[in-house]
Amino acid sequence: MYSKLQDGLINSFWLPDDIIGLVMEFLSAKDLKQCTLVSRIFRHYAQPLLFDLVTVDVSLRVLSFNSFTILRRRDLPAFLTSNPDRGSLFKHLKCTAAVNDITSLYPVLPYFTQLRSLTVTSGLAPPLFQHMRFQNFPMLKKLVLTDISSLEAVVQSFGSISREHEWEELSLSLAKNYTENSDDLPEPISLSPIRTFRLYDAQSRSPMNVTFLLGYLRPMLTNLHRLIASTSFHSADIIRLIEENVSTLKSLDTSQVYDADDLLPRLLKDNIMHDIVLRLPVLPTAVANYLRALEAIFSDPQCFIFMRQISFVLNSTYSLIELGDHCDLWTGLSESLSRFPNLDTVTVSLEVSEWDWFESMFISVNDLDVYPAFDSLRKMNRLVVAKK
Amino acid sequence: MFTLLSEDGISFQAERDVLERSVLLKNMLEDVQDSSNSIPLPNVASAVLEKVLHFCEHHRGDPLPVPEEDETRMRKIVIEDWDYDFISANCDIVFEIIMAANYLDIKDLLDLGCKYVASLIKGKSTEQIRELFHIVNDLTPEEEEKIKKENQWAEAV
Repeated sequence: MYSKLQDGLINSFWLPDDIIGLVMEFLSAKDLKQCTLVSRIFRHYAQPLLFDLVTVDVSLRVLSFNSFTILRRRDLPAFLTSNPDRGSLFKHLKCTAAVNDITSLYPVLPYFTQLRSLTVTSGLAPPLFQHMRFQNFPMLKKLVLTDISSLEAVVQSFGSISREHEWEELSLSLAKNYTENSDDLPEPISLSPIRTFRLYDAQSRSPMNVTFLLGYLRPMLTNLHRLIASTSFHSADIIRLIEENVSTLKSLDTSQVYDADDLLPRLLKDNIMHDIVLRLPVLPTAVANYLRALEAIFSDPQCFIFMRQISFVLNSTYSLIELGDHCDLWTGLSESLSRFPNLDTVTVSLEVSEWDWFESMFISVNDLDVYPAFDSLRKMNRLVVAKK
Repeated sequence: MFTLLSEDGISFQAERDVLERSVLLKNMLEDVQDSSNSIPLPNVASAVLEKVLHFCEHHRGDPLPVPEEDETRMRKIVIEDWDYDFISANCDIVFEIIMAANYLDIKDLLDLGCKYVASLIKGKSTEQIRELFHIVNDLTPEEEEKIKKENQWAEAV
């Protein structure tokens, strides 16, 4: 298939149609919408990509995506049944807490044949999953369970999922009242390993106990490439999970302080890590030791050719005096990082503390913006300073 | 050093690590023992091949692009400074560069070219996009109406 050109024109802008498809992958929804009306071949490539951006969010009164608003929730079944092909264009389905009744969705579920991600409140998940025949959703690779109040809710949700279904990504958000106890411990789940695991704890309890949850999910968590865990400051469960996946992780973002003498060198030694978030210890002496250890680890840039992003999370109780004392250490570290061949950004995030009422003693984003130790990164446009 | 022969018969010399930016050439070089033989590239004109080799020369030693872990496509058009200068300076042959990158299987150059063309489309109306690509509107008024109706649900807020 080739686009039809205007008669008599020498077209310097001529591309095979499959390349037009590649170009469109970089366009926003607004631009894709314009492209659907350019010509048949443009529509052929733009329309599926336009729908690809759609999240059918049945939690809202109106369904929305990007800057577009789509039809009212109650109109969705009729919208699909009037033209079932539309269902195959939708890729993401979201059913969250605001909705009590999603039964009207059940009859049209089979239309979502190309579904790739499913976001659902754990309370709604068991009945929804019972109405889904997972073998009819071969593209469905990502599951997001929100508002999880107990391990039992997770077990019930997974109880309706076919064992043969292969997930790639699992995201769990624990509710504030999440608890687990040792009664009725379930057998570990029988599902294949996934690549990406996200765990969010609404309360950041300390110490957070997810031992049984991770124990139940363990068969899925043995070959992780990406781990994001927003949990309490110290979680032995998360550290154990990292230990178990130390040889496969490429991307790591947790709230933990990794052991710079043992765990961190092991994580980084195989040169497969693409991005990592490093939270620094709170105690000033511990920060100094941590920075020294990092500088030693990062001293050979050729060992980090795949590294694209590194983020440092500083507690905002880090004082101006400490920042001054550690200037040489940060300078050395920055210079090491500036020699990494493919590093895009080094983000220094300042975590807002509950002690911020005492803020005049502590560092601010402005202090980091002008901190001379980061000059080597600043010159290379690699530095981003942010408030977390 | 290896010699490449463009479609118009011009020879170019380049070292192995430069040529290995191209998956096609990398595979071909694995079978080539004798570097004295030229490698013909019948689909790439000399003016384009010169630019392609310039790009590969600059990026020699860079890690080869890896496939995205997830399916989230990079929607933002971010182009590094050198790459932006390179593709802007060659905007008159950007489509030929894209096609050469596609033929030679040089993913980062293909992405760069596609991002550049996407940046040309960005913000333009349907009519302006047709003018940019010199495309005849082959949609009938009825089809246009149908598409508008089909996408009516996606009205801008």
